[in-house]
Amino acid sequence: MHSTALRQDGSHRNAVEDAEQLAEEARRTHLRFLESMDRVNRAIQETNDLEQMMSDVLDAVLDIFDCDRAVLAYPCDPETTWFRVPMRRGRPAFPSAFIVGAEYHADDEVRAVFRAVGAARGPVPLGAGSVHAVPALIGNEFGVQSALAMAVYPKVDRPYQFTLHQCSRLRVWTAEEQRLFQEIARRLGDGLTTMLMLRNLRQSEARLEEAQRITHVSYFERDLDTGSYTVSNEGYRMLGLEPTGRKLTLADVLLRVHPDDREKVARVDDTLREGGRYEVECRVIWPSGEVRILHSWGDVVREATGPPRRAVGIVQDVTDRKRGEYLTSRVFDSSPDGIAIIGRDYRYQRVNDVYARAWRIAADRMIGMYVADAVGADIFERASKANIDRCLAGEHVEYASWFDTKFGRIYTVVRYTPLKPNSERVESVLVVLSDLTEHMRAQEALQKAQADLAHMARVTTLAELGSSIAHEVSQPLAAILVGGDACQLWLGADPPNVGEARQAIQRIIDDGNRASQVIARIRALLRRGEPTKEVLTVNELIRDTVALTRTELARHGVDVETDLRASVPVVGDRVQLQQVLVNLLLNGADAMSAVTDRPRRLVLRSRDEGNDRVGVDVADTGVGLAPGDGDRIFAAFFSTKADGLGMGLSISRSIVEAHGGRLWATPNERSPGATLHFTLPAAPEVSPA
Amino acid sequence: VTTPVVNDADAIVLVVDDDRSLREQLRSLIRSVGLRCETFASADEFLDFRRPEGPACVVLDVLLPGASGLDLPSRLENAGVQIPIIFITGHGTIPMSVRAMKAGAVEFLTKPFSAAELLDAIAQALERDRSAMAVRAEEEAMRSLFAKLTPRERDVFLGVAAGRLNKQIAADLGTAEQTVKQHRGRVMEKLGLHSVADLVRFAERLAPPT
Repeated sequence: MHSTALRQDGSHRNAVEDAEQLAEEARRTHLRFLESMDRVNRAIQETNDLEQMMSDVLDAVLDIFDCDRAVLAYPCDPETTWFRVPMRRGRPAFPSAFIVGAEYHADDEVRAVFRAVGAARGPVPLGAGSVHAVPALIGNEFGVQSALAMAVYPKVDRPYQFTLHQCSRLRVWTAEEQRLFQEIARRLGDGLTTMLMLRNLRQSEARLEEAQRITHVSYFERDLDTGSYTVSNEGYRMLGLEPTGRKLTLADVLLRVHPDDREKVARVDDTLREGGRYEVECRVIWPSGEVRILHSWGDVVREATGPPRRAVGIVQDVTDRKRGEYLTSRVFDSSPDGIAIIGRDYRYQRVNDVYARAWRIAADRMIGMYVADAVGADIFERASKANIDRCLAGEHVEYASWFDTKFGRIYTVVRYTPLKPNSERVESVLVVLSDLTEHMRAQEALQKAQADLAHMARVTTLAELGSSIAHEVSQPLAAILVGGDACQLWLGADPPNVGEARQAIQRIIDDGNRASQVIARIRALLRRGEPTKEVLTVNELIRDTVALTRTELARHGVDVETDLRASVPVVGDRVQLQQVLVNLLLNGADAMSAVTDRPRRLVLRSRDEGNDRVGVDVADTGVGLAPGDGDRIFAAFFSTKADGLGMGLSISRSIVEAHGGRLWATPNERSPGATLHFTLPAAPEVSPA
Repeated sequence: VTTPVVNDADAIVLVVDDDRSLREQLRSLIRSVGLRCETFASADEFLDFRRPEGPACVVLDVLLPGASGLDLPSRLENAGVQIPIIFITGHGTIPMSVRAMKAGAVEFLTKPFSAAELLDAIAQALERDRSAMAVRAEEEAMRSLFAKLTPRERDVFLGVAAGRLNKQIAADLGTAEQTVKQHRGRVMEKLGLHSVADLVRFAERLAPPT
């Protein structure tokens, strides 16, 4: 613009003056061009920082062209749907355009500009006097009236668009300005190339370092002439050192190595000098005292001529993996359970000693063995194969059973777990075998002991009931004898009275049945042996028990009332459950023995509790519970009686609990005495055949 | 079965037993020998029953619900009822039989017992009741005769029964010896007595020594 003004001013001067003036002007223009390029070069060279460089260059350009804004947009790509503004500078009067680093939508107009600018070899003017309009987005939003744009090509990145904005007025860019702009843009392209390369390199280094840190892998170089190591940051950390960038000597390294492993590490040097590759594992001791395990591989770098001068290698911290392997193998080896891994070919891949011992085979011999050969064809076909197949199909399988092996009868719980180390396909089966033979034997012995104890308690109870039971038998027996005599007398009369005799005989038959029922009940209670489960109703049990204890209770002056409403059957051992009821009735009678001022009454109630339980209450009018007796009365050998063994309630509770029920005591709420309650689970709808 | 000779249409046996079957068989047995029989299921039921006029006895199960059978004799005595009792029990113990005898048992039978044992006991009990009834009738007659004496004659009777002389009795009553003699003669006449010994025996039976 200055030059244009000058030319107009000089229209009235003479030719010589004109020529001088033109030469002077050309000289000044040239000087300005050189000055401008110098400023830009300095802006590019004075910093190593990409952002700083861009900012400095744009500031210089603003000044050089006396324009309102200078902008770098990225990428200058006709296909892009977005663009960023890596840098923007503007005069204070026109700051509001683009946020540095933000991403903008590239509409068709913007893309058309990118296309035109990308296709042009030089600067492209936009706005007044140009074939290219300022895109509405930029024109309207940021008040741009004229612009000059050019693509900048860094060699390591996609093109940028470098743009000058003029907002304060319309501007026609002179050829001289365009030429300067083009030159600056090219120079900026070179500067960007350098800076971007530098930045990419730094990023790569940082990424490598990060990768080394994450994978616990370190890269190092060894100078075979000087013996020094160049180590990555992670390498220092592996040795328990702060990353300083200082080169390390072999002595520095050995200082950290566990004394027992130093010789091994020192030998690596010899291997390298002889031109070989190495692999070594060693322990290092950190200043904190922590011991880590490092694994290193390396090789010499061969030169075209002469001996190798340097070696490169990597070091990996394998402590966690080793520890994991160690723990796994400890679990494997010291587990009380037998553990085996079986492949898809039904052969053992790994077994521990416990597993091998179960089949009387040495663990090392078992590897590779066909399962059927180890466990026997019978067990394999009957149990193992089907379970392994299900597990190979992805299922977790668990079962427990008694097995007859060639070494005797064993009870085992076996769990099959599918193993998928790499893929979705089950590659092998983890078998965990727990030998519970001893446990089961102990449990059987315990059950037998409990059954014996219960039997003993029944015998004791019957002894307590002895005289009453004798009465139960002698009553019908006496009636039979009297009836027999009466019958004879009626038949011996003259004339014989057959009608009376027949009635007497009918009563004899009834009494015979009555006596045999009493005996059957007693025999049942005296029966010893395995508890047997059957479906029965508590009402029937209660009636039987009341019949058995009727005389004994009468002897204690105890009245019995029943209110039987249970309708759901239960599953249980008739004898044991009757024993519980006998105990509860006698216990109630005992509790009332000191009572004289009120009726001695036992009330038995039964009822359904929901669909799945049956409840029975035995309420007495006795002395009740002392505070804290609620649970204590169920302890073995707890007795308030001088002559009691104190086993009754304790045994009753264990019987009820063995039936899946509960037995407890509560004081009566509105009257003297206590109530013992028990519940039993209802029989399943369909009884197990 | 030896049939005891107890064919007595007046006699009645009262059976108290809570066991229905035994009760019925006992009734059958007792009826088969021609005796009448009434049965009761409990002591309370029995106590509501009035003692029959004729000879009777009770067959009682010791172990009754509610009150024990052993308590029944004392309850009968308190009610002034005299009747022989045969105890039967399911499990007799010696202390229990001693108690039963003290309570006035005629017999104590342990179940099971034979019909003969029971019927013998019943016959014995009825015989005892029959003679007790005769004694009771005689004493009743003596009491009605005694009731006919005047108060002064009763005083003289008691003095004679106590072995005092006429002179002493006269002094006790503050009257003349002659008057005592006259009263004494009327007493002997009214009571149908012939000697002092007869009078003393009459007095003893009327008021048994306590």
